[in-house]
Parts: sequence; structure tokens; C-alpha cells
Amino acid sequence: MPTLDAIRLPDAPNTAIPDTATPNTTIPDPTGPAGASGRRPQDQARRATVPTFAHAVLALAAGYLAVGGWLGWGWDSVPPEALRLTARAYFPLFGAGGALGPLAVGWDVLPTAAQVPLLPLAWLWRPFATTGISAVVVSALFMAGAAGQLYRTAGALGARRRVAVPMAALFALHPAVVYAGATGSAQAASLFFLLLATHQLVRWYRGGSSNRLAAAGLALAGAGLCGPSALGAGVATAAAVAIVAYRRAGGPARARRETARADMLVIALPLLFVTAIRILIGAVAAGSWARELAFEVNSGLLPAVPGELSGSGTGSVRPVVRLAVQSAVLEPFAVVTLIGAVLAGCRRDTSTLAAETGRGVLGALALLGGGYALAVVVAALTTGGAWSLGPTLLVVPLTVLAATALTTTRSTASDLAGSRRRVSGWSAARRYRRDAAIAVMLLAALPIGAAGLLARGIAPTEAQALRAVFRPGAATDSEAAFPDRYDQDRALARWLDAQHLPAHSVLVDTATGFAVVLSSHHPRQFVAPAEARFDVLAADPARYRVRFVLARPRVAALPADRVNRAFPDLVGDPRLSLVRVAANPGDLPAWRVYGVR
Amino acid sequence: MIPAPRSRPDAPAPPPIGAQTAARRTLSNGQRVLLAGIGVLFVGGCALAPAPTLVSLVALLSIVYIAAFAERLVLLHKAVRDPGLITISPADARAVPDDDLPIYTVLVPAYREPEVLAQLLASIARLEYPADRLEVLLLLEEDDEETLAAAGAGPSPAYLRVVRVPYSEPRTKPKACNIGLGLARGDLITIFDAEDRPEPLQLRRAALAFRRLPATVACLQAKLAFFNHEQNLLTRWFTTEYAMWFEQMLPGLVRQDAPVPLGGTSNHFRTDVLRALDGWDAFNVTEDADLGVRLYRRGYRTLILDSVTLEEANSDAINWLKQRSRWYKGYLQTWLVHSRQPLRRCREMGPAAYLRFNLFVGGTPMLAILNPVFWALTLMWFVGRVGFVRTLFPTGVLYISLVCLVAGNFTFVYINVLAARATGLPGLVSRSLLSVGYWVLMSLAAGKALVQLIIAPSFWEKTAHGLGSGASAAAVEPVSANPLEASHANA
Repeated sequence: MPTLDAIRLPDAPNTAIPDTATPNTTIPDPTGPAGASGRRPQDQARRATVPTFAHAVLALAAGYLAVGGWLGWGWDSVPPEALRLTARAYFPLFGAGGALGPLAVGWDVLPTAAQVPLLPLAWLWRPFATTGISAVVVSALFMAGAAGQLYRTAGALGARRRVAVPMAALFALHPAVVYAGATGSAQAASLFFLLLATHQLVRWYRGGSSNRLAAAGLALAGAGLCGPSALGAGVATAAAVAIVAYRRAGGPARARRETARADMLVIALPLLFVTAIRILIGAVAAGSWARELAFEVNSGLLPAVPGELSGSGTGSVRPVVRLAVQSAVLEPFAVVTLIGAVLAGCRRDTSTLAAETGRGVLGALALLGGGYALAVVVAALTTGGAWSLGPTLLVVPLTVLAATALTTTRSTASDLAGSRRRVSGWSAARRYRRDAAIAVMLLAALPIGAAGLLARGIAPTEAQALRAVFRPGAATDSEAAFPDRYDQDRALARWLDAQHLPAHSVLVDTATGFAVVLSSHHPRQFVAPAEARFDVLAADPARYRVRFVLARPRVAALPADRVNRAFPDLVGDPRLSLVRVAANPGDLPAWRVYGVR
Repeated sequence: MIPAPRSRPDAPAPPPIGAQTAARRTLSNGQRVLLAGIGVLFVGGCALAPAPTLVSLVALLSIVYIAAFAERLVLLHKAVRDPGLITISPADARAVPDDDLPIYTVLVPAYREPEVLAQLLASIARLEYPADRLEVLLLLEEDDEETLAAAGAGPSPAYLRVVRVPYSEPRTKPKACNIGLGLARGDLITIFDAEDRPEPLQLRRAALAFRRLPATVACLQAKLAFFNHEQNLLTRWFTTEYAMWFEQMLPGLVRQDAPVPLGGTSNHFRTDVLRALDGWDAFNVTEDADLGVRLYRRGYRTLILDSVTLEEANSDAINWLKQRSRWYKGYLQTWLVHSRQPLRRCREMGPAAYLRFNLFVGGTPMLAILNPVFWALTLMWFVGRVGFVRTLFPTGVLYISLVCLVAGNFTFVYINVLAARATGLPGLVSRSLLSVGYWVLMSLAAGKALVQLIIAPSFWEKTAHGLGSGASAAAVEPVSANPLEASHANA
């Protein structure tokens, strides 16, 4: 008969009954709100800190929203990313007759879907959708939440409040982070979920139950609906978890392997599931696996920044170099900090708590590093990625967390264990010097990052949007024309609305024509590539009563958008005739409207 | 943290008279009228406007599904944050002087189970409880000579009394337990099934917990787990399900301050409270679940005791179906019994608790019954693109159904994975991925339960024990308790 006392009990805290009772004593109800005095101390502490934390996050979100509003309204510098994501949510909701399937086509599913409950506000106030505010609200909340998660992760790594708060602030105020949070970027949601996963993973590394691992897995699944970086993070994390689980487990090798496999499954299963389901639904909505795959590798085709396209493209070395430079600009001391953190993580002393902290550091770096690596690879191998700082944005939290790990010294770990020990004056001075150096390195990233955002050669997309605002004197004609970029889209939408066209009579690639769709009062007239019927209609537009085909002239260095791909020779195609060229006050090529003969 | 007990001094107490026979009639007159009305409406609707009627039905069921899904998520969340188990350390339990311990009555209802009786008596002998304060009532049907012979074959400790239960209908475990309750001398009382292996300190832990807890806590449910989890795939699934049940669902219900459907064994009561409640409903085949709801209605609380009783997982599919269909039938009985005066029940329990009761006790078997219908519709759509399926799911309903299909099913699989991991037996984790197969078995059992509810509502389908073989059962390691989707262990 096995010993029942040896049965493993749950990891979560239970309600232990105080041993203070005698049969004749009135016993406070231990199952109630912590006896006669009310709640348990940790609950009281938690309740006291939650409002402060929530207020800080909301205040930060309001700040990002204010910046986004200032850029969008004050300068009419509506960020294309915000409009693109809003259009992705807007079109299925208002254009495709309530069919939400196209939301699942390609990446960015969650940041897009998160707008669906907000977009009905556009009935009351159209600029909420047409100026991308909906997307900015979502990105501001997610980015503020990401900062909150970074703060919590720092705490879980052993950083005290006086360290965790500045670290979170250095992340939240980084210019690239502010830009992403204020401009509706899908990166905000991705960062939030990756940092949430990091926080939970660190807690698991530090001896938490498998529930922490599950929470990390669910957060990774959320990230999997925001961008490809989650896949890299998932692979790296699953490997790291398996290694730690194997080393932690006792018993024979077979039992350890089973434990490693089980923990790997717990963390990886949600991500695998949402990825499979997303692709499945996307394929159903898009009409075929091939079409879904096409959107996977090229979902955000936009761009066209004249003069910036030559010499780049898929397979070229130049995007990789550009990505490396972008990373160095965002965090100039990233490499130094990361190496230091990895060494510190490996060198932690042998006390259990410190060792767990060390593993937590390495686990956090593996997760974010995996995400960063894949985002960079995807950006380098597919089109469009290297034009924005977005894919390299993960280097910011990666560096900040690495720096946090460097500041959590052995004494900090000992403090956590409750054995505060005295440090000598020399040690303290050395620690302060080190912390000051780390602070200087992270602070230096702020102005350098800001400069990078305005550098055409480093961040073409951001520079195109921001130079007219921050360096109007040095802006090129194209940059100066950026605020007028969508005027032609709005005019074209008005012209199309005036035709009173029936549903599904205008073919447009919503990856480039999002502003046309958003500006139209009759979005049902459009057919978007994410819809399965797009290819059918494009193959024989006259038969299906398609009236117009909208396209911009091809830019040689980029693959054609889906309208240009469906009609490789728009000008010479006998089925079409050019009926209108939109007036073009902005920085992008003018829209051509082709009538179907 | 467990929520404070609700203050319900003014709540109308249900009359104890008739509690033992509440399930004798499956439906009350009001329920018959209501059911007939719904049937007429449905048939009329199908005849006059079939599409809107069916769409409305699908929409209603989809809402029920998503509500049940949300309820399970809340339970999981609460249990994961803090399961609120009542923990008594071994040192504390052993520190109580023998003379200070109350008299404890252990009821052991058994019927034709000679093969496992010796094991049970050995387990009871291992209980660390003073023999002079222990009373074990072995409740045997009067025609059960074989078990009686087995009981007489071994040593006969002073605390053991064999009680012959005279023949009468229904021949159920709760009827035998009521007889035992009438004879019990103990201040506290518990039930062990014949194949149980309770943790030796369980009675001491429960006695000390009852002493320290307020009098409103009338019941402590110990956790149940299996000793033969490695026997086959079915026992692995069953083990995972139990882990989910006792580590997530029941603690979640406790944390919600909702009615807790008890497990059929290792539930410990204050005897006076149990007598005041008139014992068990002899006609209910999950009398334990029914009793948990009645305790709640009277303002008493049930908590989960952090102590494990090992049982034998059903390793034979047919035997499992019998057992599970009885559990589902009992849940349906319990649901119907406590739904006879819905407004009054709602006032007694509070709207939220009453809703939870309906979703948990009623929803568990009903959704298992309905699942095959929706699986078939899904299959018809994806394989054959059958047109009427699309008609049944207009856009809004489609999205709700998709959430249930995708998120709901994944969540239940993942909960199983987590429960399997929490057992400390990582080998169970990969098998829990296949738990979809287990759901098919559950739906089969639920269908059988529904039929039996109509034709033989109080028929107690006996579960055979000892299928795990004594050797393998004794050899394997125990599992920490964890859960199950629809049941408990009134084997």
C-alpha cells in the first residue's frame, strides 16, 4: 500500500486552518474573508496595489492615445498601419455582410478582431474608423499593458520597485514603443502577449505550478494571433521549458523525458492550436490553402515610398543589414546587455532562489529572443518588413529585461529569500556604478531611437510619416505630401459612392486600398482579396457584373498587389478600359480606375 | 480565499418531510405541463414555420453552451488562483488526544462485493483513529450472503457491525445509508465504498477540521483518486477526469459559494445536520449530488478536505457506461427535483447560485446528450456542405457556435491536459489529448441515462469492482486527486 502522505498536493495556496482553536473557543471562520479582521494580508496588499497599477496602465494608454490623436488630427499624419488594421476589421463587418471569416486571413487577427466591438461607434462618429482611431485605441491599450507586464516581469525577476518602475518607464517611453502604441500598430498587441507570457514563464521558472506554464502558453497563443514572432518565441520557449523540466524532474531518464514532454505540451499546445485553427479558418474564408498561404507571407503589402525601393527585395542581403542597423539604433547597447544578462543568468550562485531567478532570466530572454529572431527572419525573407522598425521592436523589451536581470544582484535574490545581508561600501559603490552604467545605456537608446525613427535609410515608413511633423524644413516633397496621402482615396471613395453601385462590383486590394474602403459609405460595393470570391470575379469580371477595378501602377521592386497580379497587363487588357485617374496630392502613386467592358 | 458563507437566516427551509422520496416522481405536475407545453410549441412551430423554429432552438442551445463554457472557465479561474482546500497537517491531526476525538461512524454500503471487502476492511483497520471511538456499519442487503460470508471470514474488530438491510424497493445505496444513519452513534459520519482506500489520517483530519470550522460547515468532501490509473486508456482518462473534478471544478464551486454536488464516498457530515435533513433521497441514483444541493439550500456549506481516498477506476467500457449513465441519470433527477419550484429555489439560493446550479447539475448531462447532435451537424457541413445546416446557423448564431466549437472544445481538452499534469503523472498528459474519444463515451452514457430516466428512473445499475485485479491495483502508485466532467464516485 503506498504511503498516502506522500501524495503530491496542489501547488496553489490552500486555506490552512489556524491551530489556535480549542473546543471552547469561538473560532473565526477561516473560510470567510480571513477571519474576524477581514481579508488576508496578501489579499489586502494585492487589492491595494491593483488600482495603482491599473491607473498607471490606463494613464499610459491615454498618453499613447493622445500622441496618436495629435499625429492624426493635429498633423493629419494618419498612420497607414492604423488604417490598414481598421479596414481589415471594418470591411468584414460592414462590407462583406457580417462575414467575419476574412478576419482570420493572414496575420494580425487579434489586433484586428479587437476592433470589431469598437467599430459600431463609427455609426455615431465616422472619423473613429476613417482616421484609424479605433486601431490606435487598441494599440494604446495593448502597449500600456505591455509596459505593465514588463514591470511585473521585472518584479518576478527580483527587481525591487525602484528598479522595476524605471525599467518599465524606459520601455514605455522608448520612441519606437511610443510610435507603435500611438499609431495602431499590431506590434503593440504582439508585445503585450509576449511580455505576459514572459511574466508567467518567469514565475514558473521560479518554482510556480504548471498553471503558470499554462498561463504562459495561453499568452503565447494570444501572441500567435498577432504576428509571426510568437512562433519563434514558442519554439524557443518550448525548448527551454523542456530542458528545465528535464533537469528539475527526479527519477530515471524515462520519467524525466515524460515530464519534459508534458511541460512542453502544456506550453506549446495553445499556440499550436490557435495557429492551426487560424490557418484553417483563413483557408476556408480565402477559398484555398494556397491563397491563405499567400496572405501569410505577404499580408501587409503597402509601401511604396518612392526612392527607397531599389536594390531590396526578397532574398537580398540588404534587408538583413537594414534589420541589424535598425536593431542597433533601437537599442545601441543591446548586445552588451544581453551577453551580460546571459552570463549573469548562468552564474547565479547555488542557492535555490537565485538559481531559479537565473533560470527565469534565461527563460525570459529565450522567449523574447526567439520571437525577435523569427520576426527578423520573416522580415528579411518576405517583402515589406525591412521598411519599418516594427519587426525589430522586440529588441527593446529584450534589452530592458536583460538590463533588469543585470541589476538584480545576488543580494537582491537574498532579500527575496528574506535573508537581507549587509554589503560592504565597496560592493555597494560597484553596484551603483554598474546600475548607473546600465541606466545610461538604456537612456541613450531614447534619443538614438528617436533619431532612427526620422532616418529615411533606417526606418523608411516611420520617417515618411514623421519627418513632415518633426523636421518640416528637411522633409522631401514626398514626405511633405504625406499628410495628403489619403486625400485621393477619399475623393475616389466619394466618386464611387456617387455611382450607387451594387454589392461586389469593385475589385480592390484592401492591403493597399484600405483608405478607399474606410472612406466609402457603401463598403459592400467592394470585393477584397481575402474573400474567396475575389479570384472568381477577377477571372471573369464582366460575367459577375464587376463594374470597376482599382489599381495603382506597379512599383517594380515589390511584388504586385493582388489586383495587379490578377490583371498583369491592366493597360492592355481588352476586358478593361481606363476611366479615371485620381487627382494625387499625396505621396503615393495615383489610383487608376478601370471600367469593365 | 473562500467566500464568506451567505447569510440566509430568512431563507425558507425546504420541508424535510419527503426528502427521502423526492425523486420518486421524476416530474412534478407542473413540470409535466411545462414539458408538454414546450413539446406542443415545438411540434407546432416545426409544422408551421420549421426554419425559424429550428433556428431559434439552435440559438437557444448555443447560448446555453456558451453559458456553460463561461461557467467552467470561471470555475477553473477561481480554482487555479486559490482552490481553498481545507488543509490539516499530519502533525496537527495526530496531535489531538484520542479522548478528545468524537465518535465517528463509517457507513459501508456494499452489495455482492465479496472480492473487495477484505481490502476495504484492511484499509479501515489502517485508519489512525481510536478503535473505541470508531463505529463501522457494514450495510448488506439481506440476500447478499456472499458478502456476508466474506465479512465473516476475516477478523472481526469490535468497531465493525454488520447491518442487514431488509428487502424493500428501491434497492439503492441511499436507502441502505438511511438505515445506517438511523443506527449511527457517531457525532460525525462518513461513507466509504467497498473498494475505497481512504488515507489513514482522513478521519482525524475531518474531525479536527469540523472542530475548527463554524457549525455552518456541515460537510467536508475528501478528494478522490484512482490507484489503477495505468491499467488502460479508459482508466487514464478517468483519472484525468477525476483530477479535473476534485482539483478544479469542486474547489471552483466552493470558491463561488455555489451548491456542491458531492462525491458518493468520503464525504464527512455532522450527523445531527444530516438527520435534520432527513438523510439521503432513496430514489435518487446520485443521492450525494442531491444531498449537496439540499445542504446548500438549508444554508450549510460544503468544503473540500485535502485528503485523498483512492478508488478503483472503471477499466471496462461497458461497466463504465453503466456507471456513468447512472451518474448522469442521477444528475438529471437532482436537477428536476430542485427545479420543481424554480422561483422559490431562486429565492433560496440566490439568482447567481441557482443559475450555476442549473448550468452545472443540469448542464452537465444535458450538454453530453446534445453534443452528438452538434457534432453531426458540424460533420455534415464540413464533409457534405449540407445546405440546411447553413440555414440553421445564421450569422450571429454561427459565431456563437464557432466559439463553442473552437474555443470550447479546445478549452476542455486543455483543462484535461492541465489536470493530468497536476496529478504529478506526466505520462497522463499525452493521453489527455485524446479525451475527445472520452467525450463520445460520455455522450453514449448520457443518451442511455435519458432513456433510463424515462423507463427506470430509480434503477440502480450496479458497478462491478475488482476489474483492476488485486495485484495491479496494489502495485501501482497513487495519484493525487483531480477531476472529472460529470460525476463523483458513488460506485
